[in-house]
Amino acid sequence: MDGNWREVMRAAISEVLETMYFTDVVFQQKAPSEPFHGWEAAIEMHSVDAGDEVRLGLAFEESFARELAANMLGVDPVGMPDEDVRDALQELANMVAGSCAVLLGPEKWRLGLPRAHSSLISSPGASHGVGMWTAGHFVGWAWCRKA
Amino acid sequence: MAYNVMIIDDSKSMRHVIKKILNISGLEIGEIIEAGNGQEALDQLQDHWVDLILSDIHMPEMDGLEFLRRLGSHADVSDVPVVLVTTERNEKRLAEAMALGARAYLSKPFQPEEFRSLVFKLLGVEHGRELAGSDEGCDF
Repeated sequence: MDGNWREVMRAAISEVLETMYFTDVVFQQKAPSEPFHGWEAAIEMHSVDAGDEVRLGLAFEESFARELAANMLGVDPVGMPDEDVRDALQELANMVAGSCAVLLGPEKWRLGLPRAHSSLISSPGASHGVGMWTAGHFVGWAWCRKA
Repeated sequence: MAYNVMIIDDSKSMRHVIKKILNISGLEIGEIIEAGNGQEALDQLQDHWVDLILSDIHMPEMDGLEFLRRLGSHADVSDVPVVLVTTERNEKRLAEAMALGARAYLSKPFQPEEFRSLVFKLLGVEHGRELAGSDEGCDF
């Protein structure tokens, strides 16, 4: 992930989290080396002009993922069905990709349909993504790569 | 006057957010009809009269553009204003949507006030007049 993409993703994630999920994160180039249980959401962005295909991903630690979904739905995160978490995270990926498309400038992008699933997530490493932290705790990763 | 509104989005979360904003907008809301894609919306429109349609573009099965195309051929609902609430930023696709009959579009993520202003404007409602009769009170 080059510096421009990293900056664009940070700005897009901040905008979407603050506007629709009523939370914010601090970005840091570090993450736990151990895999963590959580949720991963991904979406493809297709460059209409250049023909490039970029895959954008967001991975969140379990309790933070539930907190995000609960904030959006205005409900208690305890006992929230997985389907609601999946739906809220898919929409999050969708909006982050839309914001990235604007921030990337005049290039035209077409977005795919977002997907999200629960899994054991391995850190992609500092060179491939950016860590998200809140109150000193690691809460997730954002990454993108050419598909 | 109570307004019936249709929300078309494959995301339950987004439908929930839109519903919530509508319910606190100060607008008198009658029925809110939800659909997960364009086909579901067309099916629902057989049985419901709506004053406003809020639709996403990117949806499985039938997307927002195809929905607009089909809606245009339904004489009884073709005049209902459609607002696209979308992450679509491709100007060509947005222009196509407007040519197909969409009245406006709102980019996600959006601020609630931005959403409210657009809805009021499209329905030709004065903010103060509607708010005076709502629980939200009046902003003047």
